[in-house]
Amino acid sequence: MKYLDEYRDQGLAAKVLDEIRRTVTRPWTLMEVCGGQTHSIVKYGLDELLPAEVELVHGPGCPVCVTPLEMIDRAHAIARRPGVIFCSFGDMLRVPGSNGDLFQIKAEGGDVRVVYSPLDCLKLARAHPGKQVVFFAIGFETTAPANAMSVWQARAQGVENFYLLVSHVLVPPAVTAILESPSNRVQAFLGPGHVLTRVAGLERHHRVPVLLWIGEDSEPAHVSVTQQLP
Amino acid sequence: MCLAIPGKIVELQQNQGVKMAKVDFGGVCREACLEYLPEAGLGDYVLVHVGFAITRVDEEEAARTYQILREMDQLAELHADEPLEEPHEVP
Repeated sequence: MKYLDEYRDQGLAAKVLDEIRRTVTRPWTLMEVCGGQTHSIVKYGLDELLPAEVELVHGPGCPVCVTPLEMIDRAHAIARRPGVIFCSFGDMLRVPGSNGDLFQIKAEGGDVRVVYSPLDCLKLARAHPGKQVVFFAIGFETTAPANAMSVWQARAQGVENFYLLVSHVLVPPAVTAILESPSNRVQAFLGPGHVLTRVAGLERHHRVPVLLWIGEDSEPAHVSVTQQLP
Repeated sequence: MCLAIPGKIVELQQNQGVKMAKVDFGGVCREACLEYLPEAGLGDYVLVHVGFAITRVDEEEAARTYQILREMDQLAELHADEPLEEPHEVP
């Protein structure tokens, strides 16, 4: 079995779309939560393939793209400072601020490092006691436990030169704001794996179904989850 | 940042008083913290997210997920800069 081929199987996608067309009985407005989902929808034209009754509205998106400009500029200002080792996940390197991006700052001589984990920054801080090691701590709730553990470990180990520039965003307030808006039209959410755990609690409170969409970078055949809707 | 990658625990370690493991991701070995999954042991397959093991998976599930991620070219973060490289001098 080559799993990716099956997810991109046109015949299978056509069959699923057909079933959705036969199943849907009323208009639905769905919101996908994750930027990776939005990317897949737009890339494969899923919103145009779905029956007219099913409308997809793009949701809060990826924390990389929704990090405020002011925060990006702050990160860049810190990264440019001598004596600083600025660490970030790779996907932040090309996000533009008011004046360039981290990749450019690195090219101009700034000490910018791509890290896999905040714990890598802690190692750097121990290895370079004369430097200020700063980690760009972005993300939704899902990256918060890792950042918290790195802070806890820094304290336990007496590391004094480790810093976090924190820009965490929460999913429930964003989704709640949408649902409680007087002009809200969203009737259900498509939630990817871990984000779903944040949105699922809202199901009961707002009486809104939340459907599991497996994997952020979903392939077209995953649209089959919408066949759950009447 | 968003994807958890499956790997096999090949070594258990204590690092500065913290439970850590060496995890083999299809040939690439990285460290992972086990503080959020203390029951994980040698030979277990785990999903690792930003350097933390978050759940155990069975071997077949791990192999399937890894194959999909490789085909989708989503394994770049395993090859992020090594943190202990020589300091970069700022001019």
